Amino acid sequence: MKILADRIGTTLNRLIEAVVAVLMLALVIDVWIGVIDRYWFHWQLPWPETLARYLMIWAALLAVSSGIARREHIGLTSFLMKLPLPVRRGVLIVIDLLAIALFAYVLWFGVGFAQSGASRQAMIFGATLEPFFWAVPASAFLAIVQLVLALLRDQGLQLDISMEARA
Amino acid sequence: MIVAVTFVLLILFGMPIGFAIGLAGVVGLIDMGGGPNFLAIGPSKIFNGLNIFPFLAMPFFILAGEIMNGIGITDRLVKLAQVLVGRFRGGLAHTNMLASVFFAGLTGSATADAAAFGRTLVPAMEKEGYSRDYACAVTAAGSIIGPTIPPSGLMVVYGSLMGVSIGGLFAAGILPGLVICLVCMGVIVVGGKRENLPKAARGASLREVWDTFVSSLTALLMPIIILGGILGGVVTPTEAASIAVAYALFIGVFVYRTLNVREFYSMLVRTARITGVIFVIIAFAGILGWWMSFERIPQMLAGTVLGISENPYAVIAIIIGILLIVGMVMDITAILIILAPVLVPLTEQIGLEPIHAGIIFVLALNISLMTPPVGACLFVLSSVTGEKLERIAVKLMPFLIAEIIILFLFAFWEDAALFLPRAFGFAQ
Repeated sequence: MKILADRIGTTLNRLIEAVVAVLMLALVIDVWIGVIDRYWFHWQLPWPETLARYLMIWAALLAVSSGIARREHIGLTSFLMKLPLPVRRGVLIVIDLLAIALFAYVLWFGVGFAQSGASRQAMIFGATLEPFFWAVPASAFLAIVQLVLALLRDQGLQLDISMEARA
Repeated sequence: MIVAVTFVLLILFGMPIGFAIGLAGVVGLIDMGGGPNFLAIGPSKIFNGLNIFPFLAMPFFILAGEIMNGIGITDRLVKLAQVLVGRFRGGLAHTNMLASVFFAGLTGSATADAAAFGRTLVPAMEKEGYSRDYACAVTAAGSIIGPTIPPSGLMVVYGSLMGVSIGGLFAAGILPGLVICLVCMGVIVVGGKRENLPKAARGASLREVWDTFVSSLTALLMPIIILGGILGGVVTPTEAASIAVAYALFIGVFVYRTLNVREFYSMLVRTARITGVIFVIIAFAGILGWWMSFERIPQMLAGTVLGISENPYAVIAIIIGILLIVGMVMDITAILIILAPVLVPLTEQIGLEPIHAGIIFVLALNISLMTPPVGACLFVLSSVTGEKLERIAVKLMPFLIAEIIILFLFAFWEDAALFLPRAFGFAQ
């Protein structure tokens, strides 16, 4: 089960990271276009700034799930490390479950939020805000998936595993 | 009360800081008693909390730093610092400090500096006869110069959230950063004999200094491009950051020819991940921040502090005390996002100039990166070098005291803090 969760998590993460890389590249090019336009061509393009914000939000929120897969969202560990291993393990499992609950909340209310964007204009390319608002529930869904997989993989032992790896 | 208890318990039991902020915010929404109506606000607060254009500067500065580090600029900058100050007693300790200043123009991250120097300079110092705990202490003390001298991610977050000129904050960070470097070099000189610091057998010749300077020129131009553009009012911080990325790419591909597509791909992903870790804090802080303003927490705190004393110096000291104490146990970006909206109204009430207030926040939080028990730079160095955190903390003490004195100096002496922002027209 652990190995399977690890494999699925890693594969999914690779896919997400590829999407994130494309979004980041698009973001870089978009802001460059804005700079070149402002200082060189003076076309006064209305979309680079707005599009850049939405690309940044999509890229950063998708990368949250990637950080979860790699356990990069760190917290305070000094108190936890003083607890006996079985207690520490139990606490970390509960913490993972609470994080899943948090993202489930964001997903549940995020879908309604995203749909509400259909009636609002994004001021670029005649689009509505819906495709940009979907960054919130979509990233929450991926965060839940990665949290479940990370929980199955680590089973509350992530701190001890990382310490062993460091040693 | 229930929100604060939830937050403290979650942090204590190791929940990632961004998630703890989010859950505390949701508990706050439930506690308000509005049912699903209030709960439905959360996602829009998440989106709107991130939908701020100046935030874009952050991933771009991170990416530029990633590229500059990845193409081998680190070694050149360290070598430049070494030929300049390596000849004195404790030469490598001075090198470490000066290299932090050079690095500051590239990364703007204290932990990135600590990790890079922990892997390179600390072993080199050990080899020359420095004790490892002292080498780590010097590295930790110098690492906070990175986010003090611009570009600085923390300044971008502060400026974006509080509506303060990021260019002005960048200008205000230069002087304290340089003073920290000079004073810490003074601490090295004073403690040199006691620590029995080694002295280089020979100094670098003028020819060596020149050659090294020329080979580092491309890296040294980066902060000049960034700061020159922003402080000269030519470009916005976001635009400057994007130009920095273009410049770094140009150097990596055409000058050093060490950057390939695979590495660039990894840099893009790493930048997004680092940004994601910071943005999840900002995103969820949108919910908690909304709850705090609804419950009028900033006004309550301001009333409490001003009830203790209305003397501006006392209020500044209380603010610094709060930031340093909370900084001992919490991530500084999270502290900034949670406490800035709460404490900044207090600085307004005592008539503090917004850029001055900003630089006090940034300096205090940067210093808290190396305060025990959980200063992030101490953790990074301890994990990278294998040195015990407590031993580093002991050797760090003289540097820490010196940096706290510098913090109070710039906090109480407005003319010094605003000297450069005024010179560049960012403050009156």
